Amino acid sequence: MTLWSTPSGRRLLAMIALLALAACASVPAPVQDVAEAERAVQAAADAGAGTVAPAEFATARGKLEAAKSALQAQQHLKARQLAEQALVDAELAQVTAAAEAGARTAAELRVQIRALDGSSTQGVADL
Amino acid sequence: MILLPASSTCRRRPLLWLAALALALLLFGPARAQDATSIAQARDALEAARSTRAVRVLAAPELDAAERALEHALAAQDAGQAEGEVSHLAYLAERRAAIARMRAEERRIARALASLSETHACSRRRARSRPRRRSSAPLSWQSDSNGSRPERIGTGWC
Repeated sequence: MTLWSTPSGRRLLAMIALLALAACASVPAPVQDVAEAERAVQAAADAGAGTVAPAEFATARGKLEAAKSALQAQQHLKARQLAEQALVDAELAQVTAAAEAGARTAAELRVQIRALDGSSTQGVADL
Repeated sequence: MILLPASSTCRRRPLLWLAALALALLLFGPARAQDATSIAQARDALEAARSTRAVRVLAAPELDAAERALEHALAAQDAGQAEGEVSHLAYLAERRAAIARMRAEERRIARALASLSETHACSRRRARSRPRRRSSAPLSWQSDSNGSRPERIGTGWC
């Protein structure tokens, strides 16, 4: 006896299929989420995250592309989750890039101060 | 048979119901374990961020956002939301905690940069004043080209 060979088994299968369809139909297309994620990824790119925080940036961009594909395939739940994840990944990439850029500027300033002051390095503490 | 539902179908076909139960456990058991792991990771990340003073002081709004995200994930877990949704929300909370930590670091560096910029400006003024000081030896004030407005030179500003 297989699970779906009985009438009650077939009813169960039909119920599961209906529930799955209903679940898919009830999730609205996350167009806004994908648009927000796209803006965040663009902002991260503008902040130089592609070179300064490549791992975080690649994760964000990959998820954004996957979200767009899922949206096209009408997989709304998956698209929303991927877009939300791409958004936070992009924000992390952007803030990482900003911190890294600040640290680099600080290092350059320290070098210049040491050069200007000669051997004196007082007040030029390392970050 | 005591644990099985008391419907007639169930009593007639116990194997069918046992198979359905096993299938449900197979499908949803690992998902629940994954949810619990994700929640634990998010909780650890948030706790690490919260226990860092710099994060509390310099990235309070981001820390609040991370806390709200974790609460959202926990509420979804309590409500028994669909497979993957709890893990997804936990991931968002964990990332928000990471953003809070990095934002605190960025603001700490920005503050240090402001201080370094002042030091740099002083160093430049000192460096520029050195040759002029040699030409007008002990003076700390020097007239400009039209002789009316004095300009402070030397290290007095820093």
